[in-house]
Amino acid sequence: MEAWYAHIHGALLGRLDAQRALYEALAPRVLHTCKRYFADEADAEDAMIRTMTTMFQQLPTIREVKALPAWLRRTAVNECLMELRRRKAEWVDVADFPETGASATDALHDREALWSLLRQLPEGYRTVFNLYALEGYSHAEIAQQLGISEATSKSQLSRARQWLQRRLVNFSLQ
Amino acid sequence: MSPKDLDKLFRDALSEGQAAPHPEAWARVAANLPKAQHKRRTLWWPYAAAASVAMAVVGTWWMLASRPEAAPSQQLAASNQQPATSSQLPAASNQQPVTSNQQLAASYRQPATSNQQLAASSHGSAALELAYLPRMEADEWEELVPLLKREVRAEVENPAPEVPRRRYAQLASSVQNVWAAVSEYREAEVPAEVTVEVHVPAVVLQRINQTRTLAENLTESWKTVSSRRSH
Repeated sequence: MEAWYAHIHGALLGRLDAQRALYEALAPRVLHTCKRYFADEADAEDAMIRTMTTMFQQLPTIREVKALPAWLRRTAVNECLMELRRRKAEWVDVADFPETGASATDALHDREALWSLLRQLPEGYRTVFNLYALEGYSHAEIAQQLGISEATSKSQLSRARQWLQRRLVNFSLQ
Repeated sequence: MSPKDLDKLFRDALSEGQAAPHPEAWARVAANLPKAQHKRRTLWWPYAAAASVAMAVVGTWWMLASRPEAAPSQQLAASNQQPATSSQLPAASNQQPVTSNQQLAASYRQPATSNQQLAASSHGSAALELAYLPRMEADEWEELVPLLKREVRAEVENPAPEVPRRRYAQLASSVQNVWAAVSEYREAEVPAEVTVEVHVPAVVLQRINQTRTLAENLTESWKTVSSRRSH
């Protein structure tokens, strides 16, 4: 039972205060999800606003309140992907990819550092990495969602990991 | 670090989280909120006020009408009804023993002028009490209640020949229902001026006082209602 459950009923009745409370409770999570996909904060916020608008419109159709966060996250990801597709992100196709060795960054759990690293990733890398590692999509799903081949998805993921690992090593050296 | 460890590292750290949106973002969400299902708010208090006033009116009438009435055949200005009741009269009334009851002739003219002519035979105090009775804040009532806003010009004889309601005769026959009779007259559009002769025993004076209190309460309620309505 989370605190925002109480506002669902009022929001369904169209009460502005309840809608506002629901927004205040859920928007930060959505914005976090969106920010993982965009380097520009304004883009992330746009996606968040579209997601929240969709949520308020779809609210009467949502049966299970507990499922709302998961629904929101899925919707947010879709919103981000739609925007990325619209921009026709450049998918750098990498034929072969040398596996790097393990790095000494196991101790690195600095959330802020990881956050900034993720957001510094090139757009194509970041999208695939997000979908695969953080949302748990398969390569087939990613390929379908982004309109790319599975091979592209895999290579983008490898590139992303490579890029991140290199940066992580740099972090650990500092 | 293996790819799986890398994924896990990021997933654990960043999969869930919160980020504060700009304050302006809410306005953009609010602009696209679905239309609220407005429940029409029903104003209940005018109905409550009207109902309470109606109940008070009906209650007053009922109290007046349910007094034991004299026989309908009695004349309106029946003098010397009951010589026995003369003993119940207030001490202030020092009338002759021949006319056992106080005699009051109240004539109600046009509401526009609202002249209350009250010819009290000899008893000022009783006349004052009575004078209050047919008035009932008539001017205010006529402004507020269209039902009562009718000209009354009835020359009452014993009993009036062209009275449209039998109820009138019944009421008028009872001295205790004088006011009710007058208002019946006013409602009945009898085209003449009303002259009511009243013979008042002490019990009736008591009743008159009660009626006056009721009338004051009613006026109070009306003032409350109309002032609320105007706000």
